[in-house]
Amino acid sequence: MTAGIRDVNAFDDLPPVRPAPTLAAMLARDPLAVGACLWLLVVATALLAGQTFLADDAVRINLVARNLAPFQFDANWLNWLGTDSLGRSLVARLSAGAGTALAIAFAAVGASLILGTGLGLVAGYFGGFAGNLILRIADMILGFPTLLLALVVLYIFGPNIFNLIVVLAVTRVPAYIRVTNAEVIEIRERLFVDAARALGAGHARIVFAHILPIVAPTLLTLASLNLAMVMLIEAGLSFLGLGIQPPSISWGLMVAQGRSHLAQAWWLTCMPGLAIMLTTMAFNLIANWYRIAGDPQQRWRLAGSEASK
Amino acid sequence: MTKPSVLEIDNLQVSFRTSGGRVAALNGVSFAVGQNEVLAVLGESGSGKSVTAASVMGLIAQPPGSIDGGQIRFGGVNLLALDADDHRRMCGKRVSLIFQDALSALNPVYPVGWQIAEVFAIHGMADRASAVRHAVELMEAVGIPAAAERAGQYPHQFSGGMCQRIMIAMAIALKPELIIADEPTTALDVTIQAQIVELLKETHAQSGASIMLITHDLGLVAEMADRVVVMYAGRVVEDSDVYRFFAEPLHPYAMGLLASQPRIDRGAGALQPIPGAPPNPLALPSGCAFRPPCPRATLRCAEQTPALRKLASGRAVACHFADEQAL
Amino acid sequence: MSLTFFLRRLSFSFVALGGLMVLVFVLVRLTGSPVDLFLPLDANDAMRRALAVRLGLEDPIYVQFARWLADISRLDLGMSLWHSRPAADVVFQALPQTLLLGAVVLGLGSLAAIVVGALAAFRPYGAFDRIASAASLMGASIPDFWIGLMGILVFSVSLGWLPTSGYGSPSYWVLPVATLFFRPFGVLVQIVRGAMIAALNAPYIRTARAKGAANRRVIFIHALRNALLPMITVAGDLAVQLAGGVTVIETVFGWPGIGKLMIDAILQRDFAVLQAGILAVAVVIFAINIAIDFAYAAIDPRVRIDK
Repeated sequence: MTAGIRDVNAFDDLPPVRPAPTLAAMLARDPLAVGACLWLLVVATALLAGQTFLADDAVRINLVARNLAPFQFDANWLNWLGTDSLGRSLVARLSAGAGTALAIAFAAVGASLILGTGLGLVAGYFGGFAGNLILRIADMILGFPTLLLALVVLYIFGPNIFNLIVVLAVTRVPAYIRVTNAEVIEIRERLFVDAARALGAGHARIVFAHILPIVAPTLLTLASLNLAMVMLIEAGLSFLGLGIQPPSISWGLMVAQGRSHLAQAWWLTCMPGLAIMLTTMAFNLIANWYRIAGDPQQRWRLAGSEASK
Repeated sequence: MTKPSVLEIDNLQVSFRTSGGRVAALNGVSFAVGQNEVLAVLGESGSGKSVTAASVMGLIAQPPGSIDGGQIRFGGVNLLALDADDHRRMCGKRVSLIFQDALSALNPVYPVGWQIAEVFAIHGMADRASAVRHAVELMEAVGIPAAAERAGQYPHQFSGGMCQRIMIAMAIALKPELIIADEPTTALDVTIQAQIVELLKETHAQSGASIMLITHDLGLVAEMADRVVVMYAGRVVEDSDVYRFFAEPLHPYAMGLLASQPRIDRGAGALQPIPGAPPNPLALPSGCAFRPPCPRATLRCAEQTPALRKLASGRAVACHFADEQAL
Repeated sequence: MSLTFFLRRLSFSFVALGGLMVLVFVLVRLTGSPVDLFLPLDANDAMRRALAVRLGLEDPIYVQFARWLADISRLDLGMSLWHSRPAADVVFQALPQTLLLGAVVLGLGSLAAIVVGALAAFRPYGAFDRIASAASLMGASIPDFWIGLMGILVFSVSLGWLPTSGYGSPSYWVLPVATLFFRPFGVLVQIVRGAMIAALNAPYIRTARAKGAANRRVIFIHALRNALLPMITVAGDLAVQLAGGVTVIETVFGWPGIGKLMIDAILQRDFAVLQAGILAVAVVIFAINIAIDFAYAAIDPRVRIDK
């Protein structure tokens, strides 16, 4: 539908055009996305607490309070989610694990986002031999099971947090390369890029001022999905004993540690797994919401109720 | 003008939900298509002409669309009152549709012959073998060489003009009473356009079906149509036979349209663009939608929306000041 | 069917396969003596030297590479130190269990995802779609090893209905299949739904409706076949992930497949088995990719026909 405003001054009795809803207004219309944001707020709070005043409680052994069941709200609030076989507070340990999970996820996704976007821009914008090589390597990495690749690399180089981040980043880079490359090839051919070129814009200006802003929403959606994915892989690796090593604390490792007490203390396995699930789900939900909010054709679904009939 | 009508659209109102609010696409559209008539529906994009066609075919997605009122009578039956299945059974059989971009209007993963034969299968008109035979005959009829071999090929192996011929074959397969052609030549090269127009004219002459030709192309109107309905901002503003329309348009918008077209019989420099941009459907002015650029707008145009009035000449126009000038 | 297209894809897959093996070869030697990877951590110097000589590690690197290639071509991947059998035998014994489990999971997941995704796409943002989308999002977010353990807790420990771990009668299959089902199902529902919504908005769907096609015909004949294309791509990616990614679940359920074998090999420092396992997985992936190409060509004539 063609929308345009005529000479408004001359016809000042025209009704005003309703502005497009803001991001916050569209967020408020999606209860699941609001829930996801609230949960991430909880995780962020726990993360801060885990790094500060709960840090000692996460490792403090208290043999009197071994394997306390959760939800006994008359006891010390640190034990509301139960305690492990050494009497350590699950609240404190989960908070410490939040730091590990988010630090690794954001570091790996951030690194792959920057590297993958850069390589994808090169491949898509300039093409040629280098571009082809980049795409082929991306295909090769994507063509192999992420978890297995990570297992082998961590086996050979040793499991530590830095190697973990590197290997997770490397396995996610190809996704950004492919998406950026595909979008850039399409955009490159569009008229406004030609127009910019005709006006004398250099490569850097075309890429950063004209192409990147268009690709960015897709990449951010992908990044949000990848935060979830990387968290799951990290948890799996730590569960297998090839990720985070004790005495460091990670949700995946906590599930593994709780496994031998499964029959006696289910909460040791259940709670950290729930934390992983809710957090990955939050990232997935936000990506899902953003995809609708970023699409002008779907946006009406998130518009205020006064817009409906 | 006294021919019985195939299709009568009466006060049709359709709107769509957008993030900016509910947008009225059709604000009470009324016109009729006579038997064996070629009616052109003329308007710029956003004027509601394609929405009208989609409403007839039951193709308005609800939501975001919604049909808020009016009637579409086809063969005396109100299509909007039919249940979805009965409406569907008329489509393709008694009324068919030709789209603008034929290549994307054909399913990329099925052979074209299969897609033509499917029309027979859907309406239970032929068994499998004879449906395929009919499909090949239809392809020959619309001028596709080596039809028997090409029937097994896929849309991407055909040119745009050939795809449009296949669309036309599909549309005439069950000898419908009405063919709606939605910008049938817009996506084509000029030389191919002429061929397709020729094919449509032949089809019309041979089948006797009525054609509702949706277009913004005045040349196509002049070439094919018996009668013109001009739409602006979701309303019919003029309804006229084609000769008098070109000779003496009644509505200021129609006059503007004709004045903005290059013509052999007028000198250079005579082109007059319509000032301003098309109306914003989210913020239509009060009263007559064409009021802002209209050279003859008065206070009355802002207060009172002009109704589509039938004139003594049999033409109809929606302008307060059209009578004086018509006589 | 375009032969050159397939030859190109085939050769590329071969290059990828070869590249991977070279990468393993190089990485292993990059990190120091492979002897460290082969032997237990408490091995003494005499054992190290003996193994180095036996493995030919004293030879120049290109000789080692040539010998390694020759060995691979004879499917000789060395002896498993732990099992005292050829590593290739050990791997071939474990492979079928993994492939069967993966095939069952992916087959069930795809079927369920096609039905649910297509129905959800028919009324986007309707009640069914909202429930299906939430469920699939949840499915894609669940840590599989965790839901597996929860399954054991509820159905094996508490209720005693199913065995906790092992391989055998159908009852052994329930928990592993159910556990692995979530992610492929969740991911594929999203893909099928998105592809179906796109397909249902395509101009050719309007044509089909204008022809008078009923909803069932529009969805399952006109839209679904187009929507299957992206689904096959993603299902292929999932198959690749499953080929190596059932590792965690095989460990949880004691499933005697290749994933558990490789994890055990890592923990036992049985490098020959690990290397043979990687090669086996790479070959499986190679086969999956070819199968995907064939499936793609069968569905989409634009891929099939050379112009």
